[in-house]
Amino acid sequence: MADRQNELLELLDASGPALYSLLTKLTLRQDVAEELMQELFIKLNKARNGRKIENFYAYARRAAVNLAFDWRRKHRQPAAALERVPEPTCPNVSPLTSLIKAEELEETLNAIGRLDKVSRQAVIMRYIGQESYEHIADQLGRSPHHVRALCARAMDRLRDTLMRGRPYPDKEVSDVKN
Amino acid sequence: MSKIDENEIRRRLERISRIEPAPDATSRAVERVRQTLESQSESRRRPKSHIWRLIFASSLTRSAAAAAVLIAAGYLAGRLSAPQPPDIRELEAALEHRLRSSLEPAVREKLSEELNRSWQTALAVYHAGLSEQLNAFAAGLGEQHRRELNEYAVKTLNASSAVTHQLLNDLVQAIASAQEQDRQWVTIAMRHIESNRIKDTTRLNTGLVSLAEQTRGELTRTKQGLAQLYSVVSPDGAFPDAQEHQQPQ
Repeated sequence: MADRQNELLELLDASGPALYSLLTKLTLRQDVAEELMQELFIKLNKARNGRKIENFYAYARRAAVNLAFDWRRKHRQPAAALERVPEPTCPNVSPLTSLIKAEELEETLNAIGRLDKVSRQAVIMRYIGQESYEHIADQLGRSPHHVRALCARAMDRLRDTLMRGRPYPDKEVSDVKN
Repeated sequence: MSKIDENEIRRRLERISRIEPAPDATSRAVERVRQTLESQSESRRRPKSHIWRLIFASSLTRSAAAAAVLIAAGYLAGRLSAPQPPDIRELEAALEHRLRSSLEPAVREKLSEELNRSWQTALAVYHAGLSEQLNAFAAGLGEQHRRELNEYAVKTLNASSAVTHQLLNDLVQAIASAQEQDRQWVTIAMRHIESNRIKDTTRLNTGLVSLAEQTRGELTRTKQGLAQLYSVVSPDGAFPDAQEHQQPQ
């Protein structure tokens, strides 16, 4: 019991900031990341009761990603159909730019949440964690070639999802026009 | 409608990867997890010492435990140091013979009276001790019951405050969701307004250009008319029909 406690505290010291950073990136909110961090370590504490886990950090990161996307699913916003909005004919500096960019990030993360678990892990480690294919392969227990293929397929699916989008009903758009 | 390609997705993912939480928020989150883990560990350790704490809580239980240990030790020592039992049959026969020959009814009666008296005294002493123990036990039980009630009240309060906290969080998130939706609608509306403004500006530019073109044409025509008019006027300023009228003189 005390060993497990020590192991968790070591994990917290060594990888706590990295896990918190990952949760912040995936939720885009620090307060939510803090709550999820609590939940993550409580779950890890319970999970260690039953079985032996070989790579504790990889396990913790997988659990963190799953927690973050569970939270996203529970608190999903109706995404603005930005692709349906006609773009201005000339480039201009608008105060809406930052808002639109934030919406784009939400939209992209929601699309990542619709991927299967392994592809999602691979995309997050590769493009958000900026890790090498070899390291990802080592963490996921697959070959680097397989990880490359996973990432490529995941990017295709992301593009399809984002192109399809989730448009607002026309009624709401016409209301806004009126 | 703009097209989302892989480069656009990569750009967005790179923007996400550049997001970093504030250092103080990170240290606060880590510290909070550490406290939670330590409190969980503490709560797990607590039940182990519960029985010993109960035993050593009062002097009565301490004395009872010591007495029990002494009795057990005495019993064990007596059993170990006792001589080997004699032959039971032989002993019975000798005793029967002796008793039959020597015991008189008076002695028997006196013995029974003494036995009765000693039993009554022992029972009275035992009864007094037992009632004292029962009183002390009842007092201890009441104290324990009160303590448990206090603990239960504290736990209930904690649980209700956690639920309240959760409900408040949900409320805040619901308000944030509504604001988010409003912002999105405002975004769409402002983009429409912006688009219309740009179209209007373009249309106004086109109109002004065509107006300028027409004005320039008109000016050119007016200039040509004036030039023609000037060319038909005589050098001394008289009109042709006026010269015609003056020539016959």
